[in-house]
Amino acid sequence: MHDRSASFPNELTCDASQELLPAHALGALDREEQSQVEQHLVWCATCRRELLTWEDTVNLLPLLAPQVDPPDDVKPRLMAAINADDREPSLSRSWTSPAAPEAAQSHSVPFIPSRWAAALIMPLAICILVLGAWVNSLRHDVIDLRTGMPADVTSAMTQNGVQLYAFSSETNGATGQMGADPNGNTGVMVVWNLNPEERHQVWCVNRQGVRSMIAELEVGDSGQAMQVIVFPASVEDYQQIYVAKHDGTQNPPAEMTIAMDDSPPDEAVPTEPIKGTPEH
Amino acid sequence: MSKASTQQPHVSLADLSDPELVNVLIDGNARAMEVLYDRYSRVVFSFALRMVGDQSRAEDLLQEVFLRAWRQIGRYQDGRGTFVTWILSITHNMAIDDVRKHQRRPKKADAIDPMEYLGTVQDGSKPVDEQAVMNQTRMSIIEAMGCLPANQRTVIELAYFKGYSQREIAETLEEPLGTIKTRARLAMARLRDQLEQELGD
Repeated sequence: MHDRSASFPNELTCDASQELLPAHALGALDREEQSQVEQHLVWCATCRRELLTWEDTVNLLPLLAPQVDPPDDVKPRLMAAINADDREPSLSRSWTSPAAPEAAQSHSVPFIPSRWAAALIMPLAICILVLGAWVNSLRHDVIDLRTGMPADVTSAMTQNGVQLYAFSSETNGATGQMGADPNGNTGVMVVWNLNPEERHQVWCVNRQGVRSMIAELEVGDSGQAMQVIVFPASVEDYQQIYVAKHDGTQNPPAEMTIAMDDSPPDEAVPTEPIKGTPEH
Repeated sequence: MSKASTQQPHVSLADLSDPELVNVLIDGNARAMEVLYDRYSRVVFSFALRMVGDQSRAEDLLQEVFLRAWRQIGRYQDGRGTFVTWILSITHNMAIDDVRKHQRRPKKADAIDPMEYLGTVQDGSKPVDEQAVMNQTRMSIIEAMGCLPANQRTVIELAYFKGYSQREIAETLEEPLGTIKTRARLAMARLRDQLEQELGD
């Protein structure tokens, strides 16, 4: 257990977090409580493991539904929509590993939660997750992981269904990572090496090209900011999320950008005018 | 390209495991989605129907869920769980959005005991080999829910199937927030313990 309450007075203790975890897995917490739990989960491996046990339980609740066959005409409509879809398969692969199919096959029994499935897959799965997070970071052109999240955090977040987005500034050495459920609207962002004398903001651009400021980062004296970011919409609905230095305008240039390149491409969206560059 | 599709061309897609089908999907072969649809459309549709309570909207959700899975299949290769768990979590997210869109204010009438649903729709279960384990798991969760007091089941119903927060549940049921939080914790703990007994080991 890693109780950081002494150094982060606003953060939950493990006891308080574990009280909230069942409701968190159910999705029944208020936004503020949810943010507190997610902030705690970034650092606490004990609570992350505990959360998995609750999620395993929640994952079985859909089976309470009476089983009903869908109408036959949905399948042809679906396949027509898929065939007309312009998804680019190569963009959709987050990472590959020769061992991945083998690991996946070993828990091929539908619906048996991971905790209750064959325990032998876990060591291999952990290796794959760490490798996956590393390759994923490379894909985002962030080579230096020395200032990144600890592997333990990275792998656990990935394991918890969290997508990791990494970003860095080419000019001032700042780096950051954000973990978020792509289908959710909450992310945990950590940024290092920001100038604490300056104000920094988190901006996002939706798929219609509309930009908006989401949060102001609270940068500590060490230049680090760690914050729960609540977006107005699902993270996947944004084509770009970036950190910008506050300059008093409604259009500050990006210091560092998260390219949401897992999202389905939408060629109609103008990308050039909104892509900030560090040189500006 | 997946090993299965290059070295075993005689193997039909229907013979592949879910992870193998996911690899085929990532390689861009949409026919793998047909196979996954055949395997899991029933459980997805049933869940969607249970959530939104409307046949037409459930059909739309079924299509949208699998379309989203097709678009985001690259995100499912992280050892997070089975394909069906993943697609049902997509279903839950999309269905909650749908429920909230069609019902802005919580209603007391939503506080139905989830066990009552089990008797209201004909269960036309047609067990096949790959669904046998799922059916057994389903019986376990139904049995575990049946062991809960009705007021705890109602909290699960409102939280998970209706998307209410604990605060909204307290307001809807006109009970103290602390009572609802306690019920949610107790319900989840009993479910987890019961399922561990049934499915563990």
